[in-house]
Amino acid sequence: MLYVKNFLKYLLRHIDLVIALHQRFGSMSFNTHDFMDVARSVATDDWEQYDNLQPLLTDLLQREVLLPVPRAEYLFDLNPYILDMIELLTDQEQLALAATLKAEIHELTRLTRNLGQSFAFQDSQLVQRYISQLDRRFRGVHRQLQRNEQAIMRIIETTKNTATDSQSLKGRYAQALDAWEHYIQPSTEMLDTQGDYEQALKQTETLLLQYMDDVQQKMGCQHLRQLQKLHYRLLDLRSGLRFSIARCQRLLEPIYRRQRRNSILARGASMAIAEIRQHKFKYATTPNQVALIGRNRPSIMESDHSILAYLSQLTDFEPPAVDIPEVPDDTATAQIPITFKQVQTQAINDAPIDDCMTWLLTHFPDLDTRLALEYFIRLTNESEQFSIMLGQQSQYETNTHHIHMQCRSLEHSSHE
Amino acid sequence: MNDITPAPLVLDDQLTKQLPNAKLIYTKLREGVHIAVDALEHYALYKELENHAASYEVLFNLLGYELVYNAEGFFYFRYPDSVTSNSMSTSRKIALLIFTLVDYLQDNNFDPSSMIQDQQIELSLFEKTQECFKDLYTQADMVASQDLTNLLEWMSKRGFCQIINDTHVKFCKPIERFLAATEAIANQQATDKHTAPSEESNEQPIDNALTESQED
Repeated sequence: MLYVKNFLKYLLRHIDLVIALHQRFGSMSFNTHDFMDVARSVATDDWEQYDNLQPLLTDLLQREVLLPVPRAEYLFDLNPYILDMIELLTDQEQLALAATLKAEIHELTRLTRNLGQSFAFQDSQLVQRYISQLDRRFRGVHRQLQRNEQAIMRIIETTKNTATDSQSLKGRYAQALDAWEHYIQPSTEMLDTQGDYEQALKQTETLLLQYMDDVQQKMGCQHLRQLQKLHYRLLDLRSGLRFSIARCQRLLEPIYRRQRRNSILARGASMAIAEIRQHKFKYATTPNQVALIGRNRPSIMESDHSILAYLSQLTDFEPPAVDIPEVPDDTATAQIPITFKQVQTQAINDAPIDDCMTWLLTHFPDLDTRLALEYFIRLTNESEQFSIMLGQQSQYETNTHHIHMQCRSLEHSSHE
Repeated sequence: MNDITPAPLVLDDQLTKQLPNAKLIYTKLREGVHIAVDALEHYALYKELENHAASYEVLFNLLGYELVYNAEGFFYFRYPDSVTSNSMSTSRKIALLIFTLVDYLQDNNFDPSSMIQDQQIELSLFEKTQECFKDLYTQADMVASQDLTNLLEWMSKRGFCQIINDTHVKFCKPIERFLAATEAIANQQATDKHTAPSEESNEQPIDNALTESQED
């Protein structure tokens, strides 16, 4: 017990350093140089004994607060137990990276396959086990998504609220960039129809639907309800995943863009400065990009009056009238338009028809000439139900036009 | 165009009613002022330009100017032969100011893009930048802090920034032209590296680099 007590006391003495390391690196490894940086930033007076901080590092390593990364020189991790403790106590939400989510989703597919096998053996207990496991997994992924969103919110808060002097610009944006590059970007790709998430989830869904069919035949309705519940959870997860990642993306994008812009700006500026230093300001070309107006251009117009006249024309300007036919107001003339379908049905009923145009005009006297001709052409040329016989030239009269054309008669075609 | 007789006063009345700022807009733009959405004194002008953008564009085109609209939210004029050696040298000075400011902000842990785009920057920061890049400012004839103030005032007249209480500077949207130019340098060099090493950088005459494509 004495050892535990001593260790905790030791940890407490260095808790600032441990927390700083945790905040900066989390579960990632860091090298001696990074360690020194952090240690120097939290250095307090009672550390005078470690004047070059090397002994402090050795000490922390001996006490196993830090662990050397196996097969890597000068790389260290925080002891995972300490990490767990800090995260438990502070309720730190870890961002599950895209790969983790991918693994979990693949696990879902694997479990679903196992479920299928147990259906094949008609082993009720196994089925029960896999169904409950799957159910838990589905909820797990869902919870993970919620946690991710919270984590991203936290990242955004820290990025925005960190005071400018306490952390470097890079450091402030590091988490947001990490989240973007390792979570948002790959997730968006995997959500694509050809992507990994989508494929795996689709596969799971197909399997589940297939089992639902089988279950009814093989094992009765006992497990059907549970399968339906699983299917519902799957659908929920599919849409949840999409929405969650889209939301995170919307939240993070401005910060990501700003960081990108910052780095491009900084690169451009330092390149430009280097060029100016090299060629002297007088001869440098990099500052020449923006043309500004130097002289007042003499106006083309005789005087301001002419311009005023122009501007006045502008105020008078009205867009040319566009003729949009209006719907007649009175209900008396408003009629239900006659469709080709009606005409065609009637024609099929009445066939054979001796003179198609006369028939059209007698049965549908309200038809507009243009429409009547269109229906006539469609009846005689496009309808497969009829075969056409050409007759003599004849004269037709509509409400508005005289039409002179060859008479056509309709008969049921042979394959009707 | 020459057929138009001097306008009677009646037209003037109508003009003031419907396009009250037309004359001011024309004068300002001709002087090289950038009319931006976030400059308080230009807001009315900006709104009027925005509402009648197409008409104004046609009108100014007839008069020989190109009305450029930048999606960041500002208008300015462009026309051939508008650049004088004087205005070019001022533009170069502004560019130097922006390059060095970005570099200084980045080095001192500020967030360059958000500082320049959204925040008020203390005048002392400009002076520190000037101190830090003294060699370059000397080459550009801007040794005294008065030179810096003059440049900022010139910029504020052209709508690039606002000077607040003589202590802070707030850049307006048109500064985007210079930021875009800075980005273009980074992108340009990136593409140069991929194609071939260029040797021509020293040979370009000064006014030659006014390539419009890089601006907007």
